[in-house]
Amino acid sequence: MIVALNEEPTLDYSFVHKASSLDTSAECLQSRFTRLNDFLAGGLPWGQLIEWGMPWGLGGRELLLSFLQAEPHLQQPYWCLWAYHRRHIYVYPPAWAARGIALQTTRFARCEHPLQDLKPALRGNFFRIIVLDGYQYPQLQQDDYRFLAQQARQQKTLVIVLRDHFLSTKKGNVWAKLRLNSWRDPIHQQHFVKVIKGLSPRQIGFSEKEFRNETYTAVSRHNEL
Amino acid sequence: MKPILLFPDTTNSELSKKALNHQSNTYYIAITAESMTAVDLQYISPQSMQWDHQTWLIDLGPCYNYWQYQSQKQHLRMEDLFRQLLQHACQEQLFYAAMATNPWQAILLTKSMENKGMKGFISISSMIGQNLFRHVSWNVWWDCCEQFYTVASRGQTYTAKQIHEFKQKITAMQRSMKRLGVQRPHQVNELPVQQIRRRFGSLLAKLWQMSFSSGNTSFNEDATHKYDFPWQSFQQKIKACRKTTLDHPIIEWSQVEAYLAGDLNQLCLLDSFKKDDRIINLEWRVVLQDLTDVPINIFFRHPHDLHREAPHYRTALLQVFYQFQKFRRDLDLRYHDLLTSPPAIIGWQLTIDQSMRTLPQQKHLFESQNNEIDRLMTIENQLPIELEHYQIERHWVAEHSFGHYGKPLPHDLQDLDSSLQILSIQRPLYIYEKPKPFTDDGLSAMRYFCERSMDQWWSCPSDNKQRDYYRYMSESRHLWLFQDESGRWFIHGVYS
Repeated sequence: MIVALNEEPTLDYSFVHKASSLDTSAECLQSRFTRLNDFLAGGLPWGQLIEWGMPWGLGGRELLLSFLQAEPHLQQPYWCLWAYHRRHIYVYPPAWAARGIALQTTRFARCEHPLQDLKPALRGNFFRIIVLDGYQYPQLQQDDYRFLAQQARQQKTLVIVLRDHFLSTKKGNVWAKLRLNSWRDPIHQQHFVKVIKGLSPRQIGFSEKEFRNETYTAVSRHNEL
Repeated sequence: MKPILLFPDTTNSELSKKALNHQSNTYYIAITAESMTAVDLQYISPQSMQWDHQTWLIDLGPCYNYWQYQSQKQHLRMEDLFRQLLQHACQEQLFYAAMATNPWQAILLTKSMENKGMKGFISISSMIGQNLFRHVSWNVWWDCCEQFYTVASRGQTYTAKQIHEFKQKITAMQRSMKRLGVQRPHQVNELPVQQIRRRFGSLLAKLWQMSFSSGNTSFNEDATHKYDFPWQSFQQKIKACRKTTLDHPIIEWSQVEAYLAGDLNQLCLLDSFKKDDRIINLEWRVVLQDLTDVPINIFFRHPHDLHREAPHYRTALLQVFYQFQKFRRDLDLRYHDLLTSPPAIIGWQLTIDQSMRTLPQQKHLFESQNNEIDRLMTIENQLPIELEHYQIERHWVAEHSFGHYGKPLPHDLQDLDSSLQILSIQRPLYIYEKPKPFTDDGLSAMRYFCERSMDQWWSCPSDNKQRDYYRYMSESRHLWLFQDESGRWFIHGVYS
C-alpha cells in the first residue's frame, strides 16, 4: 500500500549547486509545479547527473516534463536532447507540445548506444538538458556515468538518466548526485516522489489534478469551462 | 488534389511507418530566366539540370535541411528565402519559378506561370500554387510532354523504343482528350494510372502519376524514383581531388586519421576548392593490398565548411571515422569466412564529389559568430545518427497529427488549434509505430473514455470509420487503447 507523507518536508538548501556561469538567473532548473520545487530544495540543480527511477508505463515522465517546459522569463527555452530506444515505440510530438515542450528547441534521438551515437552532442554545452530515457546496463556503464557527470559539471548542463525500475538505497551510483524515485497510484490518482540520495530522506505525494491544474494552463482552462 | 487520409491499416507495417512520417522530404525548383547558367544555381544546390534553353531544374534534396535552418535563423518563410536566393541567382532579372515535390510538377507550374505572365516564385503547397496547378492547360501539358520527349531522347533513362512509343501516344492522348471534351488535365485527375498505362503507354502513365500523386507523398516515397525521371545532372568539370599512395600498408584508424588530416589540409590548398565552397559529399576511394578499390561515400547533413575547421578537421574526420568503422566491419565479415585476415590499405583518392557555393550576400546574412543554428548544424554534421525534429500538423487522427520538421503545410494548417491542444494533452507521450492487439491480463483495471476519432470517410471508403480511445490504468500499466468498429482492442500508446 502506498502512503503519502503529508507533513511538510525539511528543506536542505545547502545541497543546491552554484551554477553562476550559466546564462540563467536560477541555480536550479525549476518545475512549473511549485510544490515539487520546494520539495527538491529549488528544483533540479544544474551541472549534475541525476538518476530518476520511474517504471515505464506508469505516467511518471509527466513530472519530468514540468521541468522542461519553456520558462516564461526566458526569451528562448533551453535546448533539450531526449534520447530513447524502445522497440516499435516512438515519441508522439503533439502530446509533448500540448504539455508545454517547445518542439523548436527539442531534439529526439532514437539510438541504442547513446554514448557512441551522441558523443559530439553530449560533449558541448549546446544542449542544456540531456535526458537518457530507459537505458540499462550494458548500454550505460560506470565509465559512461563518469563521463556524463564530468560533462555536466564542466559544461554546467543537466543530465538526467531515467530508469525503468525503482532505484535502491542498497545499490548506489557514485556519479549521480541526486537520485529519485517516482510512481503513480492509479486508484487515488496521485503522484509520489521519493529522494534516495542527495537530499535528506523525504517523500511527497500530490494529486494528478493538482499537478495538471498548476502545470498545464490549457487543461485548467478546459476544466473551468 | 486533396490528400486522402485514412486510419492506417493496423495489419500493414509499411503503411504505419509511412503514417509516422519517418521519411525525409525532397523538393525541386524549376526556374525560367534569361542567360542563366548552372554556376548561378550552385549557390542554391549542387544538383541541377538544364530542361530547355531557358529553364533549369534544381534538386533541393542535398541541402534542403540547410535552407530550412537558414530560414529559421532569418525568421523568413522558406518561400521568401528561395525568392531572395533566386533573385540573387538571376542577378535581379525577372524570372518564373515554382517549387514542388517532384520535378515534373515544378516544370508544369513554371510553364503555366510563364503562359499566364505571372513572374516570381510560387510553391505548389501554397493556395495560389494549388490553384494555378489546378488550372494548368492542355497546351502547357502537351508542350511539357514535347520537352520531356526531347530531354528523354538526350539521356539514357529510357530505350529508343519507349521514347518512340511515347511520341506516338502523345498524339493518341491528344485525340482522346479532344473527343472527350476535357478542358484541362486536372478535370480528369482521378483517371487511374493503370488505365492511362493501358491506353497511352508507361511514360505517359508515369507523367500522369507524377502530376497528380497525393500532396502527402514526396517524390522519393512514390514508386517512381528520381532516376526514372530523365535527370541529367550538371557535372562540374574539375573536382577537387587528392591522391595518396602509402609507404606501407595500414589498417588501424589512428594511422589512417593522421594521413587523412594531411590530405584534407592539402585539399583546402587546391585552387579548385574555393574558400566559399561547402562540402556536401566526399568520395574516399580506398585501394587495398589486393589492388581492389572500394568507394566510400561520406555525406554531410548540412553543407560543411572545411576551411573553417582547419587544422583539426574534426567534423570531416568524424564522418570519415563512422564510414571507416562500417567499412572495417564489412571487410572483417567478408574475410572471416575465408579464414584469412583482410587486406590492409595501401592508398586512396579523396574527391569532393558535391559542393555548393555561398553567395557573398549569404556570408553576410548567414554566418554570424556563435549563432545557435550554426552550432546545431555543426553538431548534426558530427553525429552518426539523425536528430529528430518534429512539427505539429492540424489533424485529429494521431498518426497524421505530426511530421518531420520542414514539410510544407497548407497555410491554414500551421497552428495547433486549441481544441486539438486539449485533445493532445490527454494523449500519451509515446505511441506504437503500429497499434498492436491488446490482450487483457485479467487484473483489475480502470478504463476511462477519452475521445472518439472519426476517419475522413467522405474522402474514401474504409473498413473502419471510427476509433474509441480509452485510458487503461492498472497497477502495472497505463495505456492508451482504442476499440475499432468491429470491437477489437488495440494498444496505441503508453502513458510513460
